[in-house]
Formats: sequence, structure tokens, C-alpha cells
Amino acid sequence: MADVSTILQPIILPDTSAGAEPRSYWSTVGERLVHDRITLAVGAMLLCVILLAIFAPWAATHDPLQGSVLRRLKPVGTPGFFLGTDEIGRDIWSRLVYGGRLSLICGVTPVALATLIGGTLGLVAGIGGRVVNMAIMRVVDVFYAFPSVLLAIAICGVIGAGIGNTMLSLMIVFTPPIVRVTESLTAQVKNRDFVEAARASAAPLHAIIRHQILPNVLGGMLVYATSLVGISIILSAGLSFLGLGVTPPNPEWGLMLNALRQAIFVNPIVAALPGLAIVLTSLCFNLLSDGLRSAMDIKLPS
Amino acid sequence: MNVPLSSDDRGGTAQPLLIVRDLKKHFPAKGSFWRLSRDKVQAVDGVSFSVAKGQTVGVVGESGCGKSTTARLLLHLIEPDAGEVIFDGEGVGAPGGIGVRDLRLQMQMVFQDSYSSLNPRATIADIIAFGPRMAKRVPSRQAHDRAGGLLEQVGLQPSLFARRYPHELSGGQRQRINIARALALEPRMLILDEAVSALDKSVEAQILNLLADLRRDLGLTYLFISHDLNVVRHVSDRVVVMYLGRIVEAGDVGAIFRRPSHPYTQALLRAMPSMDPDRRTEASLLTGDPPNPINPPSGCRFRTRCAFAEEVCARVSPALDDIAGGHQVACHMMVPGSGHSRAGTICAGHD
Amino acid sequence: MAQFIVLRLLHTILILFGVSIVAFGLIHLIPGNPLDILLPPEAPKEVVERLKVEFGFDKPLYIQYLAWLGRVLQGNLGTSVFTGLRVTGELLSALGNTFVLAIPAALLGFSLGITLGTLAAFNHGRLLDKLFSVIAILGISMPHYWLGIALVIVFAVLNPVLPAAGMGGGGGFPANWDEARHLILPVITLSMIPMGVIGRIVRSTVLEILSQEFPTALQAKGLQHRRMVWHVLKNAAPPALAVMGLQLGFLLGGSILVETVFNWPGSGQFMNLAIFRRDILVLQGTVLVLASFFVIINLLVDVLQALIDPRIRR
Repeated sequence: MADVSTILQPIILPDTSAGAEPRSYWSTVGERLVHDRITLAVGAMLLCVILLAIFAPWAATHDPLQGSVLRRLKPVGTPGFFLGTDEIGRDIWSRLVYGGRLSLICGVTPVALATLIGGTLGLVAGIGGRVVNMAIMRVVDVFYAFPSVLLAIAICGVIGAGIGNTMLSLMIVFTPPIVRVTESLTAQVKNRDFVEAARASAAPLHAIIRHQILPNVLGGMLVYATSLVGISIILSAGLSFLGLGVTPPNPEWGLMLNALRQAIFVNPIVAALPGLAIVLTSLCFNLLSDGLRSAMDIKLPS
Repeated sequence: MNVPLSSDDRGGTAQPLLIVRDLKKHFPAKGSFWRLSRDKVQAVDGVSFSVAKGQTVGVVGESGCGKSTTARLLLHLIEPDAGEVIFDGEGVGAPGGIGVRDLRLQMQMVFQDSYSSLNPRATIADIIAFGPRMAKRVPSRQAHDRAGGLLEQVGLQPSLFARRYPHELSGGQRQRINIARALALEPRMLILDEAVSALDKSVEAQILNLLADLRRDLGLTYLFISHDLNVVRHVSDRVVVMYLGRIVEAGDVGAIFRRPSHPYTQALLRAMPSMDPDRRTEASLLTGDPPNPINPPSGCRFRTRCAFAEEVCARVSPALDDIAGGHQVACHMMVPGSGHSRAGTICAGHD
Repeated sequence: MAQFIVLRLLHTILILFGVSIVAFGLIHLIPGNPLDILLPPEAPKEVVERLKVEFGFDKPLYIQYLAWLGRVLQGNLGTSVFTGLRVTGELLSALGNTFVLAIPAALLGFSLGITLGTLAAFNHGRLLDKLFSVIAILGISMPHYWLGIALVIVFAVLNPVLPAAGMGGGGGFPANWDEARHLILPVITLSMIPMGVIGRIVRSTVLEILSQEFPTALQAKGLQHRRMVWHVLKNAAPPALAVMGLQLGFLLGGSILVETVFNWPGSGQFMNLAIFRRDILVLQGTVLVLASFFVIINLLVDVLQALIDPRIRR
């Protein structure tokens, strides 16, 4: 039988299968994000909200803390106070704009901190041996036994109100889910062939974590964390609504919602406005998270 | 075989590069979490063989026979339960011997091409440079230059491929990267675990040729694991046949393929489809079902599918005995006085 | 299967222990003397002394914990220093009111979510699907208490059709149409988030299943469309069940906000009042009971999942 292999000689292969420029995973993701119209729109809106919050002193028309009994509960469209005034006579638009600062901070900070702490714990649990994994995950399970709203309220109820305590309590609430997601991602990545190859190359553990495992876990974590920001905004507003979060007279959307509750009989539209702000912002983050997940779910050619 | 000795050589030409003695690995079976059940998967159960310098030893067997586990045990990616691995005369992990880390600098593995054998987030150059940079502290620029050289050696143009990502490459190209990555640490031995199994036939031929050239140019030693008998026949000098965690036959490639002596080997060879229209695939010698690796049959593990099994096969495990100049078989039929009715009456390569 | 249940049971008991420790530790989280926290500052001296002995604050922590645990297991959650009533009784009746709210909300949210999610998946890419996606994502982006307020505005203030607050009766399940009317707005409000979450999970799971080959294979074998849908749903059940269990927990814990909006005398308001009055004892008992319920519900959901999907039994 003729030896087929001698017919084919090894040759320097031309690069026939790829495009002109190398495209990294993240640049592909970025490209897909930019082409997704919904994500673009949402991103733009979010940018507006953030800019308004940052430049609140310029965007607001009045001092958010100053009210006048004479101007209580004016309706939308009142000249000078185009979104109306609240029950103490303060301009709602200005309070919304300043409130954006607090709400965004209360939304993003706890999630960011929880991602840092929870991500590290999840990585350790995923990579460490069985004992370490069990220890961490069982503690996480205990915290998972509390519905998040319940836990947030209980912690705040105990340690008191205030923006710092609110963020602390939310951070505690969000850390266990992030640990779970990170641990699950890490465990999956750890078993893939290229990690085994990295181990076989005698590289030290920290290099393997940093170059092989981490880059493949971060994406999933990012998607999840973004989806948590929306929830964080709602939860922190809810805590303020109950009197457990930010304290008056600070402008915060949840607080405004509560204060205006009595106003629904007098001026219902005005009472609904802070809620609208919460919905919009939270919606933006959720859609962003969805868009990110779709963009990252690339069915790569084999 | 005249192989130029590498600069890292310790033992000389006569010293086998790799000696494996009585390697064992048992996994707790699923469901035995609380160790309530004593079920163990006997993945590798007493495997011994050796690989001479410059040789290619092929390891064949069906899925689940323990070949891949053996490969990982050699590199200590999984910790063995028992047995020793001796590399160029020095025991691995033994006091006074060679450490696992140093072993890995001399023995590397080429994985089966699957999407997950290359880090999807890294460039090709990064992937190849990772080992030298992290394990041998080679500076980044130098490691990347070397990566370019390796790419050329495996037949890929560095200017086109170095900055690409795995998902942009074809299967054959990815396998060349796998090989380049393994070579980056300048090993003396390569373990190829089903390295060509996932490739189209024409690509497979190219890769096999590449491997042959590399072996010649770099003075490498290969352990070639595959379930494809044709490929193993083509590349190996010696062949080891595994069944359910044990070696059943070992010998020179010519002896194994022309004079197979163990019933399992014979059955495997019978089942190989042939291009020759005069050779028809005959009925299989195998009877019965493939047994459970969790509770393997007592004595000879092949006896439940062997047409010649007798009572002695259930009582006594056959040892791997030398029957003729380096040809080893683990079967009672080949050993005179073993208690088997056909013992001693058969010559190597019986039909 | 039995082994699975036993293991899960053991796991659950461990978790319940952890929960009890957390609940117990709530008091001691606060800096300062726990007694000062429990009692208003103007409490008479002999009350303080009596409580000190009763709670054993002078003994080491683990003994306090064990004593407390012992009392709890006998059903004694203590006596509120404010109302003088036993916590257990008050809590249970408040919990009952919450159930009156939570169960219909769960049924509404789950059934709507499953139906809409399945419909959306089967009509992937068409208008129905997009419409559903919008509703679902609005459902989860919205603070449900705000929705409650909005509903109240629309249905109770602008066009007074439904009652704005209260249970309308003496508590417990609605005995007549008037009491039932009080249920409508709060139940709709509470069901929004579960509907959104379940709907999305069902939709994505069903889509994933449909993208596999076996539904097509089933149809090729000549199976009726309806039967094929049933098969697909059976496969989609396990993850959906898991999320439903979690949502039940949300309904138990998240009801506090809706109850505040609608002045509903449930466990949420009970807890709210306790927080307002700094009645830590009541808070402790409530947290313990609600969390324990959640854990047990999750256990039941896990067992149900394992019954349906044999792969989970490990």
C-alpha cells in the first residue's frame, strides 16, 4: 500500500482562514455592542443621567433643600418649576437631579465593592481545594437563606439609617450571589484544557490565575454585576422609602417617593415622578447587562 | 538507534528516558461523596513500561482504558496513588531525584485539538510565550521572539499568525500551535494525547509529517496516545496496548501488528477496516459487554469478553511476561504451566 | 434518590443553624449594651434587671445562644417589650395575612410568566416576543412599590374603583367580595416582579431547548404539536422551578414594601413597626421565621426538581 503521507509535504501555510486584522475577543464584543441599537440608545440615556448627576449644580434650577410653604405641591408645568414642587415646596426637578447623585452612588458602590470582595472569594473557592471550597460556599449558603430584601432591611434596621449604613448593608446582600457566580465560572474554566496546559508548563499558580483563569471569568462577572446595579438602585430607594436609608432632607429618589405618598390625593403626577426616575435608570442598567451578555455570547467558529 | 544526546542528558544512551513502574490511580466513584460506598473507578491499575531515548512509543486502547489518565499521571497533573516514574534515571518526586517542576521542563504534552485547548483571550504569541515567561523567567521580548521562531518551525508564518486569536484559526493550525506551545519549553520528550484524533485525514497527515520532522531535527522522544491503530502503526517504534487500566500487550510495532498474541489485541486488529479488498473484516472475537470500570472483573480483566476464558483467568491476574525479545503479553495462554488448558501450546502470533 | 433527600435534609439543617446564629447575632451586631438597645431609655430599673436575668446577658455568648435556641425550638420567640404580647402569636397572625397576599401573587405571577414566556419563545423574533421582552424587563426594572403607588393613583384616586389600602376586614382570607376587592391591587403589584423574572427564564430556557435537535426530531416522528410543547415544557421545568422557589422567597421578604404602600397588616408591616420602634426582639423573631420558611421552601423546590430531572440526583 502506497504511503499516502509522503505525497503531502509540510509547507508554510498561508493564512487562509482569517480576516485582515487580528480581532481580540474584547474588541469583537465592543464591535457587537456598538452595532446593537438598543444598547446604544440605553448607553446614551445612561450617559445623560450620569452627566446630569455629575453636573447637578449646573443642571438644577433651584436649591434642592430650600422650600417655601407657599409653593407646596405645585403641578407639572408651573412656570419656573417645570416639574412641580414637593410637599415642602422644593423644586422637584432640582431634587431629582441631585437625587441622581445619591441614587447612582448607592447603586454602583455596593455592587463594585461586592464584586471586589465576592469575586476574590469566589476565585479562591473555585481554585482552592475541597475544604476551602466547602467552607466558603456553606457560609454563602447561609446568607442565601435570607431573601435579599429581608436581609437588607434587617441589617439596616439593626445598624441604623444613613447612606453609609445603606451601602454597607447592600454590599453584604450582594456579596453572596457574586461569590456563587464567580465560583461557578472559575470551576468551569479551571477544567478546560488550556488551563491544564498552563499547569503542565510548570508556571506558578499566580501566573495561571492571572493570565488564564481571570480573563475568562471577568466577562461573566461583569454581566452579572451590571444586572445587580439596577437592583441595587431599587433596593436602596426601597430602604429610603421605609425610612432606613438616606435620611431627610437629602434628596434621594426613594425618600422622595415616600414623602410624596401623601400627595397622591392632591397632585398624583408629581408623586409618581421620582419613581419614573428610578425605573428609567434601573431599566438602562438591566438593558445594558442584557446587551453585554448578548454581545459576549459569540458562537465562535471551530 | 543513533540519537544525538541532548545537553541535558544524564543517563547516557542506554538509559531509557522514561521508566514507569506499577503506576496506580483510583478515583472515588460519583455518589460516594460521604465515603459511604467503597466504589472506586480503577482508572490505572499497575501500569509499567519504558521509553528509550529517541523512540516513539504508541499507546493504544479503547475509550476508558486509562491512556489519558496515564499521560496526566506522568506529568503529575493528577497525583498517582502508587508507583514510580523515573526520568532519565532520576525518580520523580523522590528524595534526591528530580522535582515535578523540573520534570515538566523536560517533558511536555500536546493536547487533543478542541476549542478549549488554547486560551481564547490570548494571542497566539502570548500562548506560546506563556510557559517560558512564567516558568523560566524569560523576558517578554525574548519569549515573543522565540515564539516567532517556533511558529516558523511548525509551519506557520509569524507575521501572519503571531497576533491572531485561537478562534480565527482552523483545526490544523490550532494543532500546530499546540505543538509549538509544547516545544516552547525545550523539552526532551513529548506526550501526544490524541493529538491528531480530531483532524481531517489530510490535515492529520501533514501534522504527522511535521511531528516526524521535529523528532528528527530536535532529537525528541515521543509517547503517542491514540485509539486509531493505523496512525499508531505509522508513527511508533514500540506499541503498548491497554485495557481497563492495565497493559495487556507490549512490543515492537512489527511484532504487535504482525504477531499479536493477546486476544484483545487480535480483536482490535481484526476490527481495523482495510483498504485491501481481499482482506475482509471478520466477525469479532469479542463476546459479552464491556465491563464496568468501577468493579472490574477479578483476575484477568478481559476474561468477560474473551472467547478463551477459563476458571484460572478469574482466579489469577496474568502478569505481563516477556515471551520473545521485548514482546510482552499478559495472558495465561502464553505462559506454560499457568493452569490454562491452552497454555504453552501456542506460539506468538497464533490465529 | 433517598440518599439525595437525606443529604439535602442534612444540608438544610446546617443552614437553619447558620440562620439562627445570624438572627441571634443581630442584637449583638450593634455596638453597645444589648439591654440598652432592647429597652427604651426610660425603662424602670427593675424591668431592666428582670430582663437581664431572663435573657442571661450576664452569661457567656454561647450559653445565651443555646438558651435562646432552646426557647425558639419550643415556639417561644419572646415577649415584645412594647406591646407586652407574645411575639410568636402576633407574628403568626401577621404571617397569615402576608400569605393571603403572597399566594395569589405567586400563582398570578408564575402562571402569567410561564404562559407569556413560552408564547414568546415559540414566537421568537416576532411582535409577541418583542412585546413580552419589553413587559418583562419593565417588570424587573420597576420598584414594585412604585407600581403600587401608581396603581393606587389610577384606580383609587383618579377613578375610585378599588380601595386604596387596608385589608377591609378582620384579617385572614377574604370572606366576601368587599374583602376580596382589597386584594386586587396589592396582588397585581406583588406579582409583577415574579412574572418578569419567571417569564424571562422560561423564555430563554425554552428557546435553548428549541434550538436543540430533539423537538424537531419529535415532530418528524409525527408527534402532535401540543404534545411536543408538553415535552419541551417538561425539560424547561427544572431551572424554572428553581427560580420560582427563589421568587417565593422574594414574595415573603419583599412584601414589606407593598404592605407599607397598601397598609396591609402582614409580616412585612409587623417588621416595619418593629424597626420603627427599635423592637429588636420582634425583628429577630420575624427574620428567623421568614428566613426559615425560605430555606424550607427551597428544600421542597430542590426535591421537586430532583424528582423531575434525574440528572440532578448526582
